[in-house]
Amino acid sequence: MTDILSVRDLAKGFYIHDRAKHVPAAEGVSFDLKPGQLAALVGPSGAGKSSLLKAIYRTYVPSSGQVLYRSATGGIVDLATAPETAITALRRAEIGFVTQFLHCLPRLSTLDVVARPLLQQGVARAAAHEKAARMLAALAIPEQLWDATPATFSGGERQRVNIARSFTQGGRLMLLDEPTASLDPVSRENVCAMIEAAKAEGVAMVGIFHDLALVDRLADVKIEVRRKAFEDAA
Amino acid sequence: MKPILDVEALTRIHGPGCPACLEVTGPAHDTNICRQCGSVVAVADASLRLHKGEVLGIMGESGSGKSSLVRMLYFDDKPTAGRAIFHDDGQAHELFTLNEAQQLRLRDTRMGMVYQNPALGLNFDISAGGNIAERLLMADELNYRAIRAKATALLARTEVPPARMDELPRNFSGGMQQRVQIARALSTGAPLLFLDEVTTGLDLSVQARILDLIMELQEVTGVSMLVVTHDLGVVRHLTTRTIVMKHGRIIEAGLTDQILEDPQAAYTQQLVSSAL
Repeated sequence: MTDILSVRDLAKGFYIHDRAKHVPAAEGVSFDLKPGQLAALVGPSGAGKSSLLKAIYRTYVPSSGQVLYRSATGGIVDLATAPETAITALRRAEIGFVTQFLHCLPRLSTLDVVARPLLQQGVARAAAHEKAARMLAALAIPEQLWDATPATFSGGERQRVNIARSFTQGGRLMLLDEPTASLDPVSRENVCAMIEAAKAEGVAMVGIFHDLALVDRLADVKIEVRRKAFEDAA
Repeated sequence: MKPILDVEALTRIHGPGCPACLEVTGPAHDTNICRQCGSVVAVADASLRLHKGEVLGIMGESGSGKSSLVRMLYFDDKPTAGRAIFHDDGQAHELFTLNEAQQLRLRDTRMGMVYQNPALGLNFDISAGGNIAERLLMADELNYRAIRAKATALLARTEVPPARMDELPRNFSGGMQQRVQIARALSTGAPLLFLDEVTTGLDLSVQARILDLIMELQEVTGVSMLVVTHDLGVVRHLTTRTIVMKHGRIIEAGLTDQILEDPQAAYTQQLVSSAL
């Protein structure tokens, strides 16, 4: 099977103008990923795992290297340099991101938060709500909470809403930033089952998990991340 | 994605202007006043592309030229140099070579503007419904009943109580005036909308509801929008791409989350880190 993602020598650093200082976050990261595989980024806190994930999603501008993504149409797109409009289109239809914390519009109901990406893809309201409801149920968010805004939820509930939203949207490549960090064991198991189901459907994933047992269970590829340049400089 | 608006090297200089104006102003010189001739360089060499259905933010502090830029595009002001092409329904209008009648026609029917100050976008001497009727009339809707029905529907959609449509907007609250302005801007189904600091100066709860309304209308109608704001929250919630201006120049452009989380320019880093 052909790779869906090839990361080539990816590096990310920040230049902080205020202090005239360059802060390296990660460098020299390369790996390949096939559909249905999960690559886990492992390394100590502060090693630059989240920065790498954000660089793949282009929330951070990569400093160097390539992020070659094979799109649904078969073409190869370098996410590191692709035009912003291409990135926006891919984010809408193919590439999802489960952030560490839930960022959502205030005031929207939980059901709307979860259904929103589908609505933006042009899915009809009823169908979007139905799929959203299924995901919320699968993650054991009580139905009485669905019309409340997630702003009022506990950390674990919010995180589950966040996961429900990303998995409702679906996609061909999903980036997971500690999706199980604030979850109780039952919820964690639900999320793992969801990740395994998505893998079985051919979704490729890059994830960060603080729990190494989860890495062993879910990951097909392990990528060690070290903040090399920073250590060299120190 | 198809473009709806292409802006190329748009420049606006207030004052006599001289050959040095563009060279001695801008972020590198930390001023927009030309020291040779005293002219104010409001916008210099600004180029951007807006796509169909896209919401593009224009961010910057007061005096950075962001309002000047959209006002030229809405024909409130004339550029000193540069051009802009509006791709509308298969036609490409080069905005600044059109005659005045053609410009007014586009402005009245194919573009909409919502100003920070409702007094600029509304006629305070006629009723709220009349304000919408006025724009519909300019777009050749001449049937009284049709106009009345449309105005009622638009005001209902922007949550202005229909019972108040015959009142003068000068008697409305700021938030309600803004709603009437939005209803008016949307009335002709224009594909291109300019929003100039539409929530600035409103109560927080009112701001939130206006933003919700704009977002909902955008999703339903697919209208393309240029959103001028100095409010990072507005940019974060409303836009997918953002450009940053300073001293009349575009200094940075990118995906909105990238601009907010990994700003590249020194000024943008400062701006983003100044958020409370």
